This record gives sequence, C-alpha cells and structure tokens, in this order.
Amino acid sequence: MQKRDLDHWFVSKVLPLEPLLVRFLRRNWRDVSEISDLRQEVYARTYESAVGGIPAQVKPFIFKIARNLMIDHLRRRQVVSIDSIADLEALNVPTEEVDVERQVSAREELRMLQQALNNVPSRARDVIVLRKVEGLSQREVAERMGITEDTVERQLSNGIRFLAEALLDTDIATGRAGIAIRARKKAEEE
Amino acid sequence: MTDDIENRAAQWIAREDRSSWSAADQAVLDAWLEESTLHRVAYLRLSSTWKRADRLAALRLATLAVGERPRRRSFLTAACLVAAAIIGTSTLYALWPRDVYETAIGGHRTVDLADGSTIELNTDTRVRTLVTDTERKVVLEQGEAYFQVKHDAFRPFVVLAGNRRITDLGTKFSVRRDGDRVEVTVSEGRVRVDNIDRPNAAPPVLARKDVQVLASANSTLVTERTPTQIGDALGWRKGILIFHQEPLSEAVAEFNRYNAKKLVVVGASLSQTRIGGSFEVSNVEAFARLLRDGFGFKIEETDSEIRISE
Repeated sequence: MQKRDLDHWFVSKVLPLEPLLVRFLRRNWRDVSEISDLRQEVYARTYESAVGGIPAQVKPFIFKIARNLMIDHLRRRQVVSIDSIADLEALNVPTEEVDVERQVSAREELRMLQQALNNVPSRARDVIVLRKVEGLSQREVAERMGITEDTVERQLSNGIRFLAEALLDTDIATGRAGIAIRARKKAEEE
Repeated sequence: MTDDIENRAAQWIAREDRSSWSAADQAVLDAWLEESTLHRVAYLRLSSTWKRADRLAALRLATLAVGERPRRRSFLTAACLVAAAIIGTSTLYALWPRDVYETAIGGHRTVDLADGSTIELNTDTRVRTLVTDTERKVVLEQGEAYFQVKHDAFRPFVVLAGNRRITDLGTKFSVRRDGDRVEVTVSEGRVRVDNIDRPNAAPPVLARKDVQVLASANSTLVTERTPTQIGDALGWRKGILIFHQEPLSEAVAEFNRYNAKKLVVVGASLSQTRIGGSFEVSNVEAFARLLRDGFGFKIEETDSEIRISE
C-alpha cells in the first residue's frame, strides 16, 4: 500500500471519527491531561496496523486499538486501582452511538467552523480570517496587519492547533460526531 | 510529548502555507514525517483541520455587506442576503476591521464613529475600524491618532498597534506608531496596554492621565509627564510642533513626518544642536529661515528637499 493512499484513508476515514474516539477515551480514562497523548497513540497504532492492509470496518478497528492501548497503559503502571480494571473489563465499544451519523450540510459545517473560530485567541483568529476568509497570502496578511511574515507564520501555527481543538469541542458538544465524512465527501465531489 | 509533536506539525503546516515553500523544505518535512508515525498522524490531523478551514471562504461574500459598496450590486446583494441568512448576523461581523480612514503627508482629519467616539488622524496615518454591537476595534496601521472614547463597559474599545493592544478604560489618549515602536499618551482617564505577542511575559501596563507608555518589540517604558508635556505631545492636534531643547536631528525628523519637502541635516555636530520653541507643522520654510537667522546655518532649497549645513 502506498503511503499516499494510506494518508488519504487516514484523513478521510479515521480522522472524522475523532469526536467519537475522544468521547470514548474521556469516558474511560481518568486523567484528562493524558487524553491527547492517548488519542495520538491510537492514531499512530491505527496507521501502522493499516500498513498491512486497510480494515473493512474502521470504527470497531480503532475502538479496539483504543481499548487495548488503555489496558496496556494500566498494566504498565505499578499501582492499578481495582475499579479501573473493572471498568476496562466492562469496556465495550459504544456501538449504538457510533451509528449516529448524519449528513451535515455545507451551511452547518460553516457554522461549526465559525463557532470554533470564535474560540481561537483573537490575534491568531485575525490571521486565520485574513488568510482563509479574505484569501490573502501570508505576505499580504503581514502587510495588512503591519507585522512581520514570521509573526504571521507563528500566529498561524498557534491558530491551527487552537482551531483543531476548538473544532473537536464543537463536534463533541453538538453531538455531531462522525459527520465530517459526509461533509468532506461532498466537498470532494463539488 | 504530543504537545511538542503537534507544535512541530503546526509549524510545518504554517510554513508550507507560505509562498516561499521550496523543494528543499519539502525534503526536510518528508524526512521528519518518516521519522515517526506519531509525527505523521499529527501532521495529517492538523493539515486536515487547515484544509477544512477553506470553507470559511464562504464568509467572504457576507463580509462585503459591511462597510464596502459592492460594485456588482444586484448579484452581490443577493449573495449577501443568502450568506447572512446562513450564518446569522451576530457572528457575521466578528471579523477583521475593514473600514479604512487615512490621511496623506501633512493631512489631518477627524472621524466620527458610529458609537459616538471620535478618532483624530495626524499626518500620514491609516486606521481600520470595526464597530459592532459587541466590539469596537481599531487597527492603527501607521501614523498617529488621538482617540476620544465614549465609554461602554460592555463593549471595550481596543486599539491594535503593532504587537500592542491598548484597551480603553474610559478615556482620551493618542497612539503613535513607527514600525514596531508604539507610543501611547494618555490625556484623560486610563488605558491598559498589553503585548499580544507575549501575553504571559509581563503583566499589562495600566496607564492613567499624564502618563506616556513607550513600547518597542518586547520592552515597555512608562513615564510620568506633566500636563504641559502631555499637551505638547498632542500639539499636532492644533497644527503645531513643540520642542524643548531637542536635538536638531529629532526636530527635523518630526517636521519630515508632515511635509513632502524633506529637511536634511548635513554633519553630525550640527544635528546635535538643541532646538526649542513652537512651530507650525506645515511651515517648514519658516523653520529653515529661523535656523539660518538664529544659528547662522546655511540653507539650500531644491524642489524635494531643504539642506541644512554649517
């Protein structure tokens, strides 16, 4: 399998499940500060497992990886509390909500992006607005704001991270997990 | 761990987004991606976010409704209505200030904003403004401006100049910007000045009446002034420049902000001569005559400049 194809599969099939995955991790992992580490580890394991062949069913595949990862982490700890073991034994992939997928319109997607954008710090948000809404290049953004191009680049890289987190929160809060697949598929067709 | 990797990934995406991205850059990025699957997935995740944000371009039509008169009116008006209907009006305006006001060299004008505040623009100045139900924002792109702000606790009045943010706490103040250097002069009330590049590096400066704040890059200097000194610093509002035994080089630099015909000082010792007095900003010839008659300097005038020498 080519890296390119694998990348494409990962972006179009795995990433849209992020809200579901993160909600699953949050429910079953006590330390909130470790959630993003776990998430990225699940991604890395998913990607590496798919090198040998792409799974037919993505959702059960990544939830199984997530579950095993959490168990591995607990086993590696010196002290494991009894209730966390019990929790993990009972830990099943939440199939009923996994299936809650619905089509999202371009307009809903836009509204979510805007909502997420409002949670990005103002300076980074200004840069993103000028870059994406007004369609200016980074150089033009620098001129418009009277700052250096390097500052624009720095603000933009901050902004991308904030935007990713904010979008995740928006997706989770609105219960619209799994929607992005359709939205992106539509965008590709257009 | 994730934090560092995500930072790196975000930096790569931001760099890739620049027009100067080269094949050599791509090779370094590829090597970084090959280093670890954790790198690759972080990069794929954030670059997918960045692509997802392309959809924001749909807001562009909507923002045309604010402040700009679309040329192709019938089509755009319809598009604006559609866009406004899609995203609603409350967040519609939460965008970058786009109303531009400017003055040429030697210019001076007062702008009344919709909220009752006024902005007085000094020479060679450019501001962008945004006044909505929820925010008031002015970007000082260049030059100097004096703000008389109508206080509104629920809608702070914010001036952005370089990497400084000046937030009005009910007041009259001026902001002058020369590249990175930002000078804030408070003649009434209070303002808060903070560094938006490094918000946690130092606490914001609170400046009250008769205080001048001089900020450059990442340093901030706060100086107490007498009311007379503050009045002098704002002399431009009456069209005059006031000097108190300042070096000729500085006085000349001030004059040159206002006039297309530039004063040029020849010789280092000459530029250290101290100058005092008040002068009309636009009457550069009178200033040159005074230098000739008062100090015995040699004055040569061409179409574009006035040279001062011993």
